[in-house]
Amino acid sequence: MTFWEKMNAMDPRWIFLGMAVLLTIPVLFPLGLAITIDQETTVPIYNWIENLNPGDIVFADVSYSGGSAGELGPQHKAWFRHCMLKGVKVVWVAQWNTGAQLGYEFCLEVVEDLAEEGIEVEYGVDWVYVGWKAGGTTMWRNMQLDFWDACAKEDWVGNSFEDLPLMQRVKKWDKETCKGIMLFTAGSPGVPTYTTYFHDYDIYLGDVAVQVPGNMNLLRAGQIKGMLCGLPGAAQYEILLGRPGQAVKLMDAQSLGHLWIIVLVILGNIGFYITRKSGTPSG
Amino acid sequence: MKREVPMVLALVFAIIRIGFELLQPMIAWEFAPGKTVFSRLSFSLTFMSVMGLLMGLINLSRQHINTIRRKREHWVYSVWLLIVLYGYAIIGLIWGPDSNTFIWIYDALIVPLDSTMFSMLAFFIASAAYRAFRIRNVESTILLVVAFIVMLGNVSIGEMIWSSEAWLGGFKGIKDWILSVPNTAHARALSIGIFLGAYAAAIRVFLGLDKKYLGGTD
Amino acid sequence: MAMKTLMLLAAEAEAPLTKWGIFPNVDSAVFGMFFGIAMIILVYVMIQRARAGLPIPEIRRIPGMEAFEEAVGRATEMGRPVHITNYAEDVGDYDTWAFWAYLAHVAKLCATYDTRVINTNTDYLTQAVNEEIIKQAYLEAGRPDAFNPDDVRYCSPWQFGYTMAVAGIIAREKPAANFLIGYFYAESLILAEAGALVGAIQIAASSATAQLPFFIAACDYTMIGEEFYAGAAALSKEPVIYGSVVAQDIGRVAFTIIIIIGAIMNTFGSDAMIRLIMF
Repeated sequence: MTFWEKMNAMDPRWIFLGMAVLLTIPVLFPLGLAITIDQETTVPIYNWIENLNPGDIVFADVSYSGGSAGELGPQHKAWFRHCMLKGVKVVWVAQWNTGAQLGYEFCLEVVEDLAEEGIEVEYGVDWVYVGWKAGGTTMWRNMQLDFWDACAKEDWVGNSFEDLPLMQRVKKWDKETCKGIMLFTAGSPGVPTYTTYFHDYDIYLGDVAVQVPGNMNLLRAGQIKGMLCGLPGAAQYEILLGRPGQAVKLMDAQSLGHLWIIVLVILGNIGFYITRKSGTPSG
Repeated sequence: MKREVPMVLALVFAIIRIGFELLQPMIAWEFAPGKTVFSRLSFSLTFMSVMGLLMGLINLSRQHINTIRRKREHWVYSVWLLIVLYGYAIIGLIWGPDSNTFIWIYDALIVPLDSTMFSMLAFFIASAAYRAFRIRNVESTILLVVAFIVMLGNVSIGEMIWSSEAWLGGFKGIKDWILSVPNTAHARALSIGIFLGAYAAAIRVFLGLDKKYLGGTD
Repeated sequence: MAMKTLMLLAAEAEAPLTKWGIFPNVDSAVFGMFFGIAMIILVYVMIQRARAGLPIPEIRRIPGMEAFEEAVGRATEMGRPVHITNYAEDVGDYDTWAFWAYLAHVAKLCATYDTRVINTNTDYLTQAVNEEIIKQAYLEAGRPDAFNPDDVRYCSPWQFGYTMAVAGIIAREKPAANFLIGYFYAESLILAEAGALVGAIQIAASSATAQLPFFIAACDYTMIGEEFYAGAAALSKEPVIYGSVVAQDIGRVAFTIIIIIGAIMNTFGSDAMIRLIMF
């Protein structure tokens, strides 16, 4: 067998091994490749929080689970950190029950990091995690009318709304209370809940990369105002905050992973044409 | 009767559901102060799906118990499945879903497993791309070129090769145009087509033309 | 409903609590209602035309449809089973209704050729219906004893639990044909690659636009978007069902005309069409 015939018939495990090596090396030895900030997708979200006043309330939604935590976790933490630094109050809800606990733990990580930096963030005053409530989109529609009743006056960890000072200001989910919605989503239920029932709110999206092409038309139509596109979006947000973190570190790995795929495709096509010319059936 | 009654029920409930989505008096219809009929009906769907989960649990247990009894191939894994399935449920029932043990199992096992399975996509896309992206005709060439541009436009290496401050905005600029114009057009066109197809499929069921949900093959 | 979740255009507008006193204040509530009624009338008219034997437009050939028989035939020759699955939706969703048409077709082919068919599920209620469909297919083929209820498997409602189970089943059972029909999420590529690694011929039919690139890369035939629903209708081989596909095509033409008129009007500064659709 010639080299190109061997390439065409290559065991896929060599491809997996190459990918594993190229993804691991930058995590252990960061390359420090530059990251460009996207003015149309990432910056609007940053500007939104920057232009809010301390004390303004925003709502955020966890619509993802552990599988998407690699992309949406860094987005979640960077954005929440920004809100806490600006004094913007956040009420968290979750459309996915499988991600509710994960989202809560991400919030706690940010709070602990801020505490280590000497910035105190108090639960019930600066943020409340309502979490997942059964009922689907009906629940979200009921929250607009009477948030307390819809949520049974209880947050994710069992605190009564009566005991949470922030919730005294959130009786309804309406435009007077809510200065915008941040949705971290990996699928369904997700965006349609807000574009249908909260269409006149400012909606911002934290998206997994695979859904960016599908949701781009919402951005173009003005139905959403900004979008964090996968891991690059998280990395850009960390740079805007001046605190490069996990996402920036992992971008190097993503770069090399993309490069590996491109190299493989080029080699595959060269092999395909050479073996086709020589009349050998290709793989 | 056996087939007609479910078909009539399907149509009646479809009309009721449409009413609860599109007619404000029905949406706001309260049977008690602050309690709408719509929200209670929606809660009933949650209970129905929980019953479905219970039936699935029974079916799964039956299947794996049969595998263990007949000592079929890989029967040991069926034992492990049943231990994990019932063990986690019992922990949640006894100590509650807020207990440290329950949460630890979720954090230590389910989240990493989820992430691991999701991360397999990175490897599989490489092998799928290597196998499938061949320049065979004009369409596959366009597919390949656009894929390269979008991949490089998303990462730092693309910025190094062709900067976004250079002609045409570099890979990033072209990628942004592709996502904003042709991709948006395709996404909207597909959405319209999918909506129309889904709606026609739904009408076929509601008008009784499609009866496969009754278990038949016609 | 699908009509509400898939409306595309947006515009800022002050909105009252209800529209015309009875419709809720969501985008396109009134327009959607009238469009829906128009579609129902259109479907009914086209079906009546088909029943009366009047000419209705032909549906073009969908390449993936012809591959079903080829795939099952290949599995029969190789003595390996066929695997068919639908992931994401429950028994009340239109994707599942369309899936049942494909399942019935594949089950009939497998029953005729005496080939084993494995069906994996995430929802028990769907599994119950799938089991009935497959059993009925074997009954109609005169081979009721060949039906194995253990081949209709409930895996897990959890996305990656289901994915792991199906990938394992594919690796162990080594099906010669793998049908991925319905709405999928991140598991699409894992399932498709699992099938590719065992050398299965793969046919995907999905309305999940985010997963189409993966299906196109990993599968031999892919039916995208509304081809999935049109294919479900085409499989029935009844002219009356064709009528509903023709109706959806007419609806698409109507949408296209509305878009063109709206774009021209908007270019000249009038947003009347946008307001009409948003109402």
